[in-house]
Amino acid sequence: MKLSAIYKYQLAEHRNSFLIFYAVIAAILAVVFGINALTGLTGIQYEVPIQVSGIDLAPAVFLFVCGLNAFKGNFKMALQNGISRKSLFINRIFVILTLSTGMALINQIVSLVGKLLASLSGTIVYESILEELYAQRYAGHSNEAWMYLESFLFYLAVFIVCFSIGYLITTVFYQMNKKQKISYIVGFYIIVFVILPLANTLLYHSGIISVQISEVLLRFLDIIMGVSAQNPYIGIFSLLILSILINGSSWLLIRKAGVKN
Amino acid sequence: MNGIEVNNVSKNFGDTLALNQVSLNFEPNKIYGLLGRNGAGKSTLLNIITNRLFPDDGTVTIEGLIGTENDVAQKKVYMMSEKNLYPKSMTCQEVFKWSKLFYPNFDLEYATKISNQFGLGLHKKIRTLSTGFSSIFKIVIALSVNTPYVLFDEPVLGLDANHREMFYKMLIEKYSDASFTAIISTHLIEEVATILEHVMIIKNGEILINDSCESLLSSGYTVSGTAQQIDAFILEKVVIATDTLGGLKTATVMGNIDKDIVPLGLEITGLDLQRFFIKLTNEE
Repeated sequence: MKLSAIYKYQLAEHRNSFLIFYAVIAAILAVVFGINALTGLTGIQYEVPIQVSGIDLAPAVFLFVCGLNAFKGNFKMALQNGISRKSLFINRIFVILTLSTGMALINQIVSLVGKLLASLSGTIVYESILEELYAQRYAGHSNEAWMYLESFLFYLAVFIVCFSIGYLITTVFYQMNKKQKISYIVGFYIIVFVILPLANTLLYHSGIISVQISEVLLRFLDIIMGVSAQNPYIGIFSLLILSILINGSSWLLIRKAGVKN
Repeated sequence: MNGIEVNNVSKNFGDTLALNQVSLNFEPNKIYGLLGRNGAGKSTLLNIITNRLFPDDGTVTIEGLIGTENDVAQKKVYMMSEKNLYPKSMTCQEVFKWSKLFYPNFDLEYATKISNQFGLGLHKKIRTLSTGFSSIFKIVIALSVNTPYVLFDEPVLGLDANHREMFYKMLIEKYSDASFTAIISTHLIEEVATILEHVMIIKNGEILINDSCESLLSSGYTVSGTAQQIDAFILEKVVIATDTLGGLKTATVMGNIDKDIVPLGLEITGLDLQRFFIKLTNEE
């Protein structure tokens, strides 16, 4: 009974933001296709077609933000209602899976509708990030069933990772006091946007390293996501491993967390 | 039925020793008073019992089950904490609805009834409640949740005299209808003294007194009369407090008294628990 209660509670916490998010997505698509239809009626011709891409990754950003807001309040509510950290975490995983599965499915529907409308309009190109990453694999197959299945699995993995990263960040922050939080944020920006680019340039130009760090990172991303191999299953597998590592880290932080005064 | 057993529990916050090898037993169907000054370790102990904090050492069992990270054990306990852990954006009614899901025995009808008696607006958001009504909101849940063990941490914080009286009355009524274990953590001794069955006094993380209220009250007495009479009477007795008002004097004395040898003009009444508590907790 309690397990399902905390599952329902955590899921319900996302209900309103979920509805608002899809209302915004629907509105964006309606505006794009609506304007296109109106301009079609007025006889205006575009020199280049309207490119609609990246809308399939919007849920990833949404879920990342959801993850960032998914710990503190739920943790306090769980403790108030006699729910252990373990039950809270297990049910959080179920919530992540539920939301990610639901949004990956809706993503396919949005993609299907988007492509259908694009094909009807003739002046809109509707492409997903998946099709851009694995362009050779999906060239000429963008509407086939197996492509939708791969797309579903790929986005499912992406969404799980994005939510999990947000959740990990918020659990890390929960353990910190104000000074630690500021140091963490400032330190992160200094390392990523100052030290790393500086080290990259200095080390490369002084001949200490033969390949730039950014190049190494990009190659690493290319390999783990299976981009060169044009195999999204490598990416899906890597993302699943990453989500296990991230959620494992979150659990290590949650298992000994106490209520704060 | 072992009740709640606290075995050698210790807890440190940095250099501060909040609890030092505390061992206690809260038996089923009794009203306990957990008394102590601010910072004595009362809330820490209750937070450890309800799995909100981990002890550095020792264990807590609830009806024989390990209390730490155990949903089955924790289902038997509800804690009304001084700090609000409910989402501040929720209305009182929404919290009641969720409480029913978490605690299936939660009596929604009773919660609504006593909320109305207290004058608590069910459609108000938690964040808009004053300190007093925030306490009332938590009291309503604690009295409606129907778990075998209900822990009240500073329940009357910010409550006016009327609401405090209503709370004590409702608690007694609820206890009379269906017994449960109530643990009331407070430093306002005088008000709760009449409803407690068992008293535990905690100081600097250690249990000083763990005795039945009856036994504690019979361990001393209060004597009042003229200052001259009282001064003569209390010679060579263990006096923990005296009060003088005009020519009248009152002394709180530890130990037993043979009422037959009390001089004429002196009045003997029961031990003043509050004075006893102040004396105990003020000693270095």
